[in-house]
Amino acid sequence: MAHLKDGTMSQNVSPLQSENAFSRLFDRIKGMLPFHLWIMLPTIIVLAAITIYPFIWMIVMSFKETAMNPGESDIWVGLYNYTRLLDDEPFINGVKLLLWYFLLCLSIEVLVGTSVALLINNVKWENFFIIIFIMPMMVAPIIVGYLFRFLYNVSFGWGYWLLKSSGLMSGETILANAKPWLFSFFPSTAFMAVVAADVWEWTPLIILIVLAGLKAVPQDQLEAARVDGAGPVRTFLEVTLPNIKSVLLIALVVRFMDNVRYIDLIYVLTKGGPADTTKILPFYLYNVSFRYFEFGRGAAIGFILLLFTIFMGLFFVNVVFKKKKEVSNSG
Amino acid sequence: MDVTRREALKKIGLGGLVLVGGHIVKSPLGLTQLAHASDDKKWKQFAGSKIVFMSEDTPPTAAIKSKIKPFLELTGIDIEIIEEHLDIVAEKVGIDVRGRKGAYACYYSQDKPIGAPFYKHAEDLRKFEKDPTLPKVPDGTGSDVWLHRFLDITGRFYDDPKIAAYPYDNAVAVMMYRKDLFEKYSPNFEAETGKPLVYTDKTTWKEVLEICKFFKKAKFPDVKYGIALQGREGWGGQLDYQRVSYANGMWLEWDFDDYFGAVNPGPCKWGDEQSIMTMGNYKELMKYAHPDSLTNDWSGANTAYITGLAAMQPQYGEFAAVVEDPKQSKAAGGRTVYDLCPKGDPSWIVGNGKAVNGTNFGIGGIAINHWAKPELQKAAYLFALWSTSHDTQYMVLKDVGGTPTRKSVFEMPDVKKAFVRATAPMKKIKPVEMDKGVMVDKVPLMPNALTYGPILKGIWKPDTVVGPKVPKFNEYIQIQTSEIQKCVAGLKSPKEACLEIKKKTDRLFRV
Repeated sequence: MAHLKDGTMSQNVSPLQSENAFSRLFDRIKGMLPFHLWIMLPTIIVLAAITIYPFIWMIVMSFKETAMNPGESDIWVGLYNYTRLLDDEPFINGVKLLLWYFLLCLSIEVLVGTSVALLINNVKWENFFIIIFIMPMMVAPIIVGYLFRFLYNVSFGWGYWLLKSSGLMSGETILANAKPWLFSFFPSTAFMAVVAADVWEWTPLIILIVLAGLKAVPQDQLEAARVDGAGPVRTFLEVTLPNIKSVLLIALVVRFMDNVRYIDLIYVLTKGGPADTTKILPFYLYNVSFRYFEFGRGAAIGFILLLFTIFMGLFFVNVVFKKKKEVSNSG
Repeated sequence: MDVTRREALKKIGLGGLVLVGGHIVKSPLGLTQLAHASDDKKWKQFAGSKIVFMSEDTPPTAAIKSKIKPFLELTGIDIEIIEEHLDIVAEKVGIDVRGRKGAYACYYSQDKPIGAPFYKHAEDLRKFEKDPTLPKVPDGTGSDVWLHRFLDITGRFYDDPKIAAYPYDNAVAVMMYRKDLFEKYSPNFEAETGKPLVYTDKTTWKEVLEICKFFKKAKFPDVKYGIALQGREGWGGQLDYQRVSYANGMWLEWDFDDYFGAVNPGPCKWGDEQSIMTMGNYKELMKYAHPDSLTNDWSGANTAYITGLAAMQPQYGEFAAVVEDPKQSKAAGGRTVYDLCPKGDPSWIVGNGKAVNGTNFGIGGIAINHWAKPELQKAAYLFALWSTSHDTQYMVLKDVGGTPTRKSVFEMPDVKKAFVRATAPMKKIKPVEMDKGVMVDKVPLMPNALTYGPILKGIWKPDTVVGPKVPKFNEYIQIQTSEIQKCVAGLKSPKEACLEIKKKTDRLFRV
């Protein structure tokens, strides 16, 4: 028996018994989650603290008109910040331009990136070419913006001179040109100039990813295609492309998410102008939140953008997994 | 009246003191030392504190940063000066004050983009002025020591009597033009139009348009365009357009007193006949201006001007330092003349509106952050006092090219001489070849002072235009400039653009 502080006696518990009880409790807690989740738990807690809290706060804020001055308090406005977006011209324009931005940047980058990767794959100077090609990617986007601003400058820009003298551009300016480039349904010349800068910087990422994919294409399949007499185009379509599809989709997801986030280029090159023709949705979001300081409206736009990103992300992921399933089923 | 011998001696003594004092006050470098000697403890009381000043990357701030040693010696306060582009300053200051952090004990407060939305986050400077524990500067900080109503422009907002900032620098618009090109091509212009090619303070925007058409059509080898404008979306574009719209009929968006602004401005005048006419004329000006004018801000326009592509530019006085530097500018070496911005033209005015030399500006103030700790606010106030004092402004003007705001600096004899090129003090430089055989070995000691003549004329009513000071200024100028750009780009007619601005602006202010 052990003496307790209040003078009463309690049953004696041997150290062995208490150890067993502790061990049983530990086992029970451990059994509540699979082992890998236990390992990840600290990270999950930290991530939750720094992402979920602001996320919830963002949703709450999107229902408010936030106070601007000391002594004022936020006003609950319900869904007003969302409903007003329905006839908010810059918002609708921003969505349209964002879709154009995805379409043009992703298609050009994937097309050019894949072509270049195919060209330099397994050639003698492959490493040298890789170093040369990845250089633009190493430059900060804001620097790329300034670089292209100089290139496009009417006064001394080499890019302006090239486009003008080659007849690829009508009009007297690139960045101040709000008229459609080439065809009337195309976005403005200024917009295409921003796309060109994005393509210059980020095509190397696609080259790198596709090159990595190309290294994993089974040699026996390539040899079999060659033995069967398939030409380079058929070999690419029938053997190479199916093998690198998953990698390409990952590249697409990465670039898609970048495009939603990056506003650096536009900030430096055009600030959304001329005539709103380069004001893609993330840039409008930046303006609303950090230039007009309308945090409520900004939160609503941000939330919509987030939903859109999640939706597109899930779409890409489903395509990848579907592809993988098909491959494993056929295997 | 009988005066005793003792009283007479007392008066003579006092008179002597006044004379000596007066002499010291007039001596340019004696001012601060005098004040410092008597208030030494007050200046030193926050020694060891560290404050941060968030500022636009203007010449005065660059100069103050490089000449900060006297402030450290005077106060013992460690100050970190962060220089950023104005948009970034507005963004960072906005985040700081909205987050109630007070990380920047003092910040650069441009009257409209920063002052108008955030003035409530600035501490009332009258509180520090009344505080007996804080020092004073010799001339004081009252309304009359600054250039005409600069304290109202940068420090007072709406119907609040509080003083939110002291005038720290001035960026007043003037017209800069290439005298050499005007003289050279005057015969050609005269042959075409029957008038000599000249620019005076009576030149109208309509005549400027004529000059622009002439230069663009002529395609001279040494200049391509008549004018470089600043139509970039945002504040640059708003000011650029305002110079034309105000000159023609003194048109303003709202009728409130533009020195103080209005929290609820009411319905705007966009869409009226005058606004539609001006929009059409501005579009025409843009058509003949440097092609990047729609995307250029003040720096971009200046680049077009100093690289010799444009013969004129409406520009802020502080850019004279770059314009007069032969290493950077083809417009240096006495080729540039500074004058008032163009006047309105009767044929561009609807009804009986007046034609004026529309002069606008951004007056940068220095404000104390309401959210900073009280002792840091006081330390920041010492910096605000020192940086806007006569001696500091004079030093900055002479050494690097500042833009003073105190009247007393403009009254200094050597500064007055520097207003005019013929009498301006010059400094020797290593000879620079500007064109073949054209060498420049001297530059003005105070290049910005060359713009002070037109600046001191232009800052008075009716020529000057201050506003619009409205809380949602930053969103309003986005609405305005993006619609102006749509009109200039041919996507909308002047009427459509003006009516769209009206619709969006009234909605913004909940009219």
